[in-house]
Amino acid sequence: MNAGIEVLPLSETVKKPVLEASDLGKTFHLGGGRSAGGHRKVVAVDAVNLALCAGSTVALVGESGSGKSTVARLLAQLLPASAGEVRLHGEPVHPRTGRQRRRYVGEVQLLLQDPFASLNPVHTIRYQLTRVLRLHGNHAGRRGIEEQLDTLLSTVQLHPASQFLDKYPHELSGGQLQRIAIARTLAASPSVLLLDEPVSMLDVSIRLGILNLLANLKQQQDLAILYITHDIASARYFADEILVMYRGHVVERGPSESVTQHPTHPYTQLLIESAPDPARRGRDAAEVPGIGRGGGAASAAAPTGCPFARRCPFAMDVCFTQMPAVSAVDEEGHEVRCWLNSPETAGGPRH
Amino acid sequence: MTSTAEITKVVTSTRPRRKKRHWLRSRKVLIGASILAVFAVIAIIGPWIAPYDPSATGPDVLMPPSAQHLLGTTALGEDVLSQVLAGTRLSIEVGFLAALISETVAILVGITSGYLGGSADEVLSLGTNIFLVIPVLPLQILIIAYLGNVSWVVTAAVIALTAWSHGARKLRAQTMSIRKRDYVEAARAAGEPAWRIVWFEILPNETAIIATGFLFSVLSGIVVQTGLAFLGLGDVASWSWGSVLRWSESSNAFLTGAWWWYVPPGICLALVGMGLALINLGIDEVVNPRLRGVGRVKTARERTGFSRRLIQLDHDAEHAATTPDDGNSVLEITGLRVDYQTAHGGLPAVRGVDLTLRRGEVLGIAGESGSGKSTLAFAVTRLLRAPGEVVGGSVKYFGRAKDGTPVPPLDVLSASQAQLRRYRWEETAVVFQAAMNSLNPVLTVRTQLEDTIRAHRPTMAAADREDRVGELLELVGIDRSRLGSYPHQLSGGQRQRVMIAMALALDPAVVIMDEPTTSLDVVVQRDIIRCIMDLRTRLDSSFIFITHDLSLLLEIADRIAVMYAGELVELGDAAQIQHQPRHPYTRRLLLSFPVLRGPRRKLAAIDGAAPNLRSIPTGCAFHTRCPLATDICAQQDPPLLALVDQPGQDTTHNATGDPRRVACHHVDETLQLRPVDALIQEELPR
Amino acid sequence: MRFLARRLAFYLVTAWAAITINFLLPRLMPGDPVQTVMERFNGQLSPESSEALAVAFGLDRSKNLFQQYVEYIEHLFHGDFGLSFTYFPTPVSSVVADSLPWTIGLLGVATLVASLLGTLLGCIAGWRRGTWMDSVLPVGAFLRGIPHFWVGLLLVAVFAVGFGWFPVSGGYDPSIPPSLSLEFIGTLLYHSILPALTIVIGSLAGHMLMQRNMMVTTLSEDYVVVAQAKGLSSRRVMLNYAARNAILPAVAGFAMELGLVVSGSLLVEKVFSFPGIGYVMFQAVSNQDFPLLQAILLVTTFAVLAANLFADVAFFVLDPRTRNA
Repeated sequence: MNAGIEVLPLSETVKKPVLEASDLGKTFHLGGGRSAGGHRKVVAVDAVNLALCAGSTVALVGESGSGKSTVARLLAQLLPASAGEVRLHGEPVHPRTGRQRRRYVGEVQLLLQDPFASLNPVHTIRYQLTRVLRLHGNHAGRRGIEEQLDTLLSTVQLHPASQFLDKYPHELSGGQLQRIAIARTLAASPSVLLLDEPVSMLDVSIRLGILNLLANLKQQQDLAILYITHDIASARYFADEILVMYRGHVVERGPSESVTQHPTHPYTQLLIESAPDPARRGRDAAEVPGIGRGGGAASAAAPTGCPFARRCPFAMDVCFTQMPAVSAVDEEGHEVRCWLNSPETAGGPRH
Repeated sequence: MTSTAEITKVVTSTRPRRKKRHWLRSRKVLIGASILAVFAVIAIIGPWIAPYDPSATGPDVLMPPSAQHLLGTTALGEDVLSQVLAGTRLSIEVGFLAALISETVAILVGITSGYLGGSADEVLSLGTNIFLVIPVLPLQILIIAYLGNVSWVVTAAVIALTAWSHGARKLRAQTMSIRKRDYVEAARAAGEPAWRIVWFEILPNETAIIATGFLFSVLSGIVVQTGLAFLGLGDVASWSWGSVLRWSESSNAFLTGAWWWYVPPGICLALVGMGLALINLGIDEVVNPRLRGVGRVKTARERTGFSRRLIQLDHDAEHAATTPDDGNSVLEITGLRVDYQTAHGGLPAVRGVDLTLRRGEVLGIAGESGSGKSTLAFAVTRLLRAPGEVVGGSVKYFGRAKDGTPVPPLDVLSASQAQLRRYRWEETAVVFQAAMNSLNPVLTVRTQLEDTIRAHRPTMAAADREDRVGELLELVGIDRSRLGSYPHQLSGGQRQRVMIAMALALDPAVVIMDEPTTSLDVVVQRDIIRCIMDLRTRLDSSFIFITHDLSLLLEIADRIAVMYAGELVELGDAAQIQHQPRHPYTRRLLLSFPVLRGPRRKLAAIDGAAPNLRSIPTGCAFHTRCPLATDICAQQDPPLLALVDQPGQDTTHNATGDPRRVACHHVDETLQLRPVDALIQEELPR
Repeated sequence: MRFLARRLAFYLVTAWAAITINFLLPRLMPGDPVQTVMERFNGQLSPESSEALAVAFGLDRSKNLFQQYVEYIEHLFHGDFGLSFTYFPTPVSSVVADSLPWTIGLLGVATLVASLLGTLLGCIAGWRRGTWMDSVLPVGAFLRGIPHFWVGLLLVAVFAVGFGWFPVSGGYDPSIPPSLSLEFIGTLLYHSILPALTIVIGSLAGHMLMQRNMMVTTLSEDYVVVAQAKGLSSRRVMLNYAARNAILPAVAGFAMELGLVVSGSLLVEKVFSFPGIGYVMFQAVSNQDFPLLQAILLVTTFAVLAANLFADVAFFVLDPRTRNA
């Protein structure tokens, strides 16, 4: 089940991954609370493998509840993993002391979704940036810090810095705040950026600006980036590799062009078909693809077998009983976890 | 919902810059603080300014107030004023010390329990709840009775140790909610140590609650001390408000009519209580913006004045370009202006919008947050709440009788309450963004659907109603058996379907959908869109679909109106907008959506951000971000003009003969630009 | 059901905690508790009283602390709280049993009336926010700070002494023998009006202010806007949509208020010499009657727990989300 997946980097020169996760898993134990039947186990992330390389972006695409944000929190060491291993520069990560944790997060920084919420309303921008500079071993004097603040803000295209440093978060716009939040992650001089839906809370007209800024930073600072999103079109735009998650499992992965242009897993197909498409204007509603009525996150997954089986239009008997293994779609590292593509069952009731 | 969120956002964004100290400026807080200050001064100097020794007996017993004894005398001839003045110190001392101790315990317990969570929280919150439920007075009495004749410090400590649980409970809840906020998570992700997170990130955000809790504790400390002294417990030899009351009660002052003896201490207590409560109210209003004077209700006279003014404005609006009624319009908006009233004057949210909804069409309104698109929807349905206010323009509804003949148009903005009740939902129904919040959590789906029908069809038989309600659910693809469900038992998509069913309950001519799919996952969104498109072919209602997602509108709308900073900047057929947008904003917006088809190419972002209501640029609001902007753009706001036919352009008119409208000084230049879809298809090097 | 089961478990733990606090308190006093108490009475207590104390404290020197604790709980389960000093040699249990119905009757009715009336007024004030009804804020704030017993003093002075409309003190006319006769019930009600009114006035403002704020907060919820948009009548929007949701926190927070209300109301009984627990408590304080005081703490705690259980059932009925989560 947990087939070790070899991730093939996109560029021709084989790069060594900066941050790797193998068989990463997270199980939440919901307290007795009001839930029926007492303690309930929820497997949020199940055996996820990924590798982030310097100067390239991996996108993690999924709906709410797919476990994609949990992956980011596991990698940021905000949550302890229930299974698997995280390696930074090839070294297994077990931060036990505060110092070890700080050294790790200095390398791996997390950017959160909502810029209005991710900056503390009671502190100035200067305070919040200075804290991160100081935390990560910056012992420069006041003037040195001041210079670095200037550089940081100009890196995220906020100038002049003096116009922003003494403001409180509520005095800035969403786009400006997200740039500040980006500056805050850069203040630690990280080598890995984990971006949890970095633009979904922003106005449409400024989303692209932030994405382009992040893409530039990636190139300039040779950052390894994990981009978490529900919007597969932006993943195609921004990432080199795409991992599609469904209920804690990676169901399809591969180079972003390959995954978006030749989706193989029925769920990926559904995701892509669900995106708005002007070409469908004026067509009959029935022609437009979609899943069965009432489908939604509410229905529980089959206890064994493929988590998507209940919503899958092509589901076969085996889908409900056995978890499919990972199989290759092409030679470029495009892989899928689906019985339809499996050598034993391929050519099932498809199309 | 958008309305509340938007209003709150507007109100917040117009707060004075130094918002942090805002609650100190509230009038309630000022009055409360002044009262407390007076008592604080009395507590300090009271024993010295007392005209007599409070314990000195005299021959004038039970004298009513007079020049010698301003508040009369006791049964022993002591001066009541002196006793009250001297007693103020002890009462306030005990209250203050008790509050200090109990609030400290509350902070320690509440924050530890809220921040750590897990089993530490279970134990601490169990302890807190136990102390919350045990009646404190018998416990305090028992402890103090055991301890014997105790000093005021011990009394305060006993009060505190039995009274901390209220504060701890509130702080725990607050800490748990702050702990989950992104900025705490961001601080943890940045590597901040736990103590710094508690001290610098969480605690400063709890000052208002801690202040409220402290004040509440001071008051309850004073009241409890008074009660204990009244029972003769604690240090009864010293003067406090409670001991004055105790001696007056044991001398049966209230049986002998010596009101001057027992009334003053009570008044003092009530005043201190009121001072503290006023401060609390002031802080509450800052912490919970909904409590502020947002919902001022207009009196009948104001309302008539309001509509008269509107009618006048309406006449002015006649001059504006309107499409003549050809019987095909169902809703006509002319020169509509909406302001958000603030202390610093009105902020324009909608700035003169002309828009006509045709029968049977899907009209899409696209815009970013703050563009006024939702405010427009609320104004059209007269659901706008203070501080939002329609300040100009008109909304006309062209109804039809049952047989299809036109009836005189309804002027929505000056309609009476009775007309409005008919207009709402029977003619115009609304589907709001967050379906979870739009459904009443404590009523079943059936009740909420039936409510709608019962309000408008009071004579309908119960069986027919039940039938109709089931039919409605099936119309949106939900099984009839879910009628008995409560909202929390449905998934997000199902809830939104129920809202759509509710909107269709009375076969309205117009359905307004305000971001109906925004909070939903993309697959569920597709599902809802499918449901809406399906309904559209089956019903002959008109739809207004409001969203920030222009690409979605391109797929589902017949016509699209693009809004920017409260104005309509472009209006045209979906195909026209898609292929040849004429306003630079529309154009740039279309080019900034990453696409799934066609070549993968680098996209150019729009500089800057949409303006907020406080600082809308002069002239064309988009000129600060526009690549085509020239001097005139900064000076003159371009009107929304109909495009005239030009050679080589075949898309200025659509099938219904509606002219395409654009508000741009450089509309001719945009014609020269390459079509957007050609641009998107073009392969560019990455 | 799970929700109620959890609450029930919590009340059991709380009851146990109250019992344990009661057991431990006398032991926290410096020295031998019985000895200390005896000294305070300057040896005027009879050996029987000493015995009563030992029972009340669960103090049997021949046994270790744990055995004492077990024995203490055993005594409690048999209703054996020892003998009261004040009403010597009446057992504490019968003193409490005689006075408890008075308090439950008075407090139960008064608290119910105050919370219902306060909730109603609060809802109306919230619904009509922005009108003259906003003046309930400062008035309520003023009333809230006043201790219950002082309100009682004023009412006695004005209506009992001044106008002579009501009796000054007592729970019934002693000339009428206690029975279930109409006459006796009449005198009972007549004597209860002023104390009940005192409690209602004292706690009304708190309920009202809280409810008003909840109502105003609820009014800006989306479902209230939707209900208005649906064209429902104002009355229906106010009752079924706004108030129906606004009362939930009040019901859930009943526990928080009740402990305070009970405390405030016990003192009222003293003012009116109303023969309930509060009055007995005052007697016990004056006579240093520790067995009685201990029993009072336990009994009032149990009474509050029972009232809370009722509130939980009400919440369970009112909020469907508790039922099948």
